[in-house]
Amino acid sequence: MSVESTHDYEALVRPEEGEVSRRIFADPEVHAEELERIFARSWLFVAHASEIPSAGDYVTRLSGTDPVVVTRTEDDQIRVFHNSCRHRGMQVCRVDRGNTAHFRCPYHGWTYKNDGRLIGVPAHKYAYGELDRSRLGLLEPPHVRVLHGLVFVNWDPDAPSLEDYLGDMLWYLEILFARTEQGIEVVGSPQRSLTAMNWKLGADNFSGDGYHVAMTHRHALELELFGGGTMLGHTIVCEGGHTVRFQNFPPQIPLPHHLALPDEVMESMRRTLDPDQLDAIDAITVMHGNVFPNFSFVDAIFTTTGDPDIPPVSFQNIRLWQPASADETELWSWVTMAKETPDWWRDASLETFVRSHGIAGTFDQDDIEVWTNITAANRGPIARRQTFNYEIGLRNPRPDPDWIGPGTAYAADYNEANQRAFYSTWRGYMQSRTGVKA
Amino acid sequence: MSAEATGQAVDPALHLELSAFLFREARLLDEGRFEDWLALLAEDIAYEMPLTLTRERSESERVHDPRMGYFSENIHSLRTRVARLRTDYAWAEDPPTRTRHLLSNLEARELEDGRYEVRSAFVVYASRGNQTGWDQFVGGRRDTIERVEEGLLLTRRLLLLDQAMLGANSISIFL
Repeated sequence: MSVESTHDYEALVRPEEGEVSRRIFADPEVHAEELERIFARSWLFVAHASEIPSAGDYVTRLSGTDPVVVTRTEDDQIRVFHNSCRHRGMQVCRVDRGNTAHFRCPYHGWTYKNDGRLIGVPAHKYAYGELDRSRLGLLEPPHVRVLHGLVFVNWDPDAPSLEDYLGDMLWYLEILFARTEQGIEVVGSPQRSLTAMNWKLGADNFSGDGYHVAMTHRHALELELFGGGTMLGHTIVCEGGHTVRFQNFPPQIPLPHHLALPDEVMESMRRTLDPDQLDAIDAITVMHGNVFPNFSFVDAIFTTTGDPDIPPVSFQNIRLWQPASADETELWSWVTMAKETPDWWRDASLETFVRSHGIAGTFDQDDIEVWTNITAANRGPIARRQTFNYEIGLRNPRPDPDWIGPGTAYAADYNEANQRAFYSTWRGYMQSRTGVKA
Repeated sequence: MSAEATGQAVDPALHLELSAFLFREARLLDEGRFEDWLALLAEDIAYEMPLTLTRERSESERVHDPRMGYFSENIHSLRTRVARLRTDYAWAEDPPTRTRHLLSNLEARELEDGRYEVRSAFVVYASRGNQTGWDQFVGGRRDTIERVEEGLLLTRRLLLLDQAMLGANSISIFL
């Protein structure tokens, strides 16, 4: 955490004036500093508990650019370890998922139990005489927290608790991930692609970009898959750079309420969420947002993908924007749903996601086309001297003190307050070498 | 998903007919004749591409995710995808990706219900914009084809991609 910054982030990032330098989306040095100052210090999502339901189950993931393995031990604890042998650094696990009691390094054979303990060192006595194996277990982040099944890690020993880090955002995350008594589960494995874009463009969009929908996704309006008309909604800024956007459907175009969730889910949801949380998603088309830095989510109703066999359903999608390099992002994309969900609805929800918001989905193709082309246009020195414009809502913020949830709410579907909050938080981390709260 | 197909290998004339059908289908896609391509699909087509996972050899049978995929399509969603391409707002495909669908290693069998199964290997080169590199989609394909009065129709396409981490930005073409 001691990279000396060569950048004046105060000058580059000025969300208060609606300006953010394009350099921060393109410069490899900025990217290297992000890994140290943001990703090595923030709470990062690595998995959902439902992905490893049984003792011995594991999945391999990334924390920033560091590989980790997420395990469930014999005593039913979820643990996260740096996926790298303590002897010479070989990855001890090289597959996406599986079940095992231990991990054996292929290089010299050091063997670790799935709770991280080093339990086997070949030729131990001959090679080492004495070796204190207890201090050579797999490296473990100082903080691992499982909240509503969401597994987060933080590598900063001085980090705040996850609950403090999320603050008001927790209320919104509960709407998605703690909406029923049995909780939610991941369906299948995450989709993944290496995408030629800077990771912040995805977080920026999911943080609250209602403005792009009518143009980037205009095909859906043309094909009448999507209602047009006046856009109503809220954008909400929570402390810590976490943000949410709700879009309401216009009153003259009624859609199924509560995201068309099936009765089994609704019944449990009424017993689980508080009335204000239920109200927040009563008459919406979409709820999406971003937990700083790179954990995005969306819950959206799609009345049709042009398929008369599918009734109106919604889908829940978790995204991670993994910062592979300044101009490459590993996009990870999970589908989740309440465990109470009946089979017919599961199938319809999953199909709706795959067809619209999967990596081959009709919506995501166009988003990715935009983000990759922005990244390409940022390569040159001229571009890097310029700024992106974030002035929407700067002079007409439309604050809504009557909003039913926590955070600072704005009664506007088009608003860039959320993005401004994201970059303000980003700047706070990048300027400070220790402990941050922007 | 690696079970051997049952049924008899087809005779050479039928093999040629099935190959010609699939090669023409590939050409229609490469020529952007998507409506003509749709006409080769049965009303009850299932067009699917599950995720590919990196797994240990002992779990080779579970390399393809049984739930999550990149495609989970029927005739309606495929028609919607084609209709989308005909709007002025299919940004990822306008300008269109130039594709070349290469199909090889064809093995054809007659199934018990009278339909035909053709297994093959595919390589799809996709050239986008002025990039000098290619998006490459490589894998195995299982196609099920039925004979109707007007000719042959595709009733199922199962695409088993070799790549686990997709090397393309997205998938905006048909495979």
